[in-house]
Amino acid sequence: MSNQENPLLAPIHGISLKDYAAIAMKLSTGVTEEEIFRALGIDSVIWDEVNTLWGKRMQEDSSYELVTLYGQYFMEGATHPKLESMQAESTAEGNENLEKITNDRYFYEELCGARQAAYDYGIDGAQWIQDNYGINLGDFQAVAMKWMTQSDYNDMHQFIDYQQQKQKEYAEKFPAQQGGNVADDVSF
Amino acid sequence: MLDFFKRLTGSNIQAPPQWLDEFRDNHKRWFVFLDKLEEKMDELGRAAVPELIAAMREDADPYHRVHYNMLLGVKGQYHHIRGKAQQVFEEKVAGFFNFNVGQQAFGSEFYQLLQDFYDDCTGRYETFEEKYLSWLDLLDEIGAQDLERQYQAILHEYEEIKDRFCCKQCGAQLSIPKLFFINSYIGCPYCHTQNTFEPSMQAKQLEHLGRSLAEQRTKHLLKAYEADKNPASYERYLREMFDEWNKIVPDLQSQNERFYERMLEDFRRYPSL
Amino acid sequence: MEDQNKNVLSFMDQLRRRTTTQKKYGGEVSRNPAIMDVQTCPSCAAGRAKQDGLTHCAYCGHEFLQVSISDGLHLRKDDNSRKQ
Repeated sequence: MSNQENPLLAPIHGISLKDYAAIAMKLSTGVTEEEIFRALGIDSVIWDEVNTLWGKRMQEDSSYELVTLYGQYFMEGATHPKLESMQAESTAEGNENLEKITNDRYFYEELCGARQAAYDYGIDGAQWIQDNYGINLGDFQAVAMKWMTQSDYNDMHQFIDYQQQKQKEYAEKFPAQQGGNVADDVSF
Repeated sequence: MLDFFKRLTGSNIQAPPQWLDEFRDNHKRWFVFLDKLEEKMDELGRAAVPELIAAMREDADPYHRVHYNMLLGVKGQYHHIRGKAQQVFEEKVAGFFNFNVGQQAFGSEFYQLLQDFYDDCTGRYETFEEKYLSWLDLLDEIGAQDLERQYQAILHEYEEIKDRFCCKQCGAQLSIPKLFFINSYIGCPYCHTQNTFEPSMQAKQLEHLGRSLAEQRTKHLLKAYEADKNPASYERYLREMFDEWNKIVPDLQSQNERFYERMLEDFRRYPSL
Repeated sequence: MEDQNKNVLSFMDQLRRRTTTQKKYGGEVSRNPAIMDVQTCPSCAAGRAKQDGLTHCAYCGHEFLQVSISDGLHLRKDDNSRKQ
């Protein structure tokens, strides 16, 4: 459905869904609001309304078109013409790891499993990925979107199993490093 | 304790199978194992609850990330406990049953013994599962209970500050006309300058907590639907939940009404989901 | 029993320390109070009055906003400055 057919896709204060998804992606990489406002010629009042109302539009859309497009635009957010020059600080190692999760599905799934295992042990998983691999959350989520759109049903099971296996391995590593689990002393 | 152990001593039993000792052992140890895991869940819950309450109250972070990460860490321990039970169930109950039942004639005494063993152990496992789920529900409740307090704090703060601001251009007193949760322009009635009002970090949470608080206030209606499965009960819950949401965040009423229409349409189309 | 409890208490102690001291993704966020501010024209220092619209300075035409305001939550199309 084009913009003209789906009124829910009409821009809000001149900010389209594509703009909105790209802004969200850039913000989650660490780019500041001020930089984004300058690039798009908006201010905090405009942004707050845009940020609130695009979310509400997605809630009222029963066709799921907006949510689907949002995901696609988020994935493409790095290359938005007005925002692509904005980069959060990164390291050479971080850039290498980002390229690796973009091209190596198994490495990506391993980090997903590790991140979940981190949260399950009370560790801030997104920060753990940033600290250990130099990959920020926005870039990680954009890559997640890419793998999601590229998956086919036949592959999905092997990757789900692999992620779960990795999650299990990290779920043993974190307690081993940080004091164990409460039920370590209970055995059959 | 099942009476199948008593049946084993009867003189009509001939050629007891080799798995009988393991059978007795597995049954006894399974029950003791689950007792110990349940005791561990209770100890963990008793220790975790006051910590989570304190984390919620003392966390200066408006997004309550300390509480959130602590809750995930505690839940992770419950999942780990349940994972231990699952692993043993698969090996020592289901695995043991499946391995041995195929060697017994259907309907024979030993077949029935194995079936009773499986049913008894599964029944005990279901009780364990219920306890595991009820602990998780209780832990979620801690965060949920705090929503009302957070909301009242937002209302109280608005009453305190609404007449405390002045126009940044001419200095005239400005009154904040309503509870804003996003940055908004406020016009000075004297010099007409548009001032930019930025709500407190606390007030900015209003939209995020609106739906959760509305769901909490109407939880009893959702439970009524889960009990009677009557579509009219769910529609009543939905309407009242949105009514509560509109009271909490009146500025989003027209958007939320459209969301309500969408949810109602989805439910009527797919009532079993 | 006491030893078992030690496990739980030690875990909770470590969990509390970890969650209160670890760096959170996105950084620390302060409980900032509400504030009032004003944006005057950086070109001519004039204030921005509602009847003149929000997007341009009524005196020198400076562009405060490069977008066109639509009917939003509190903002309305009428808040656009008239074309000069």
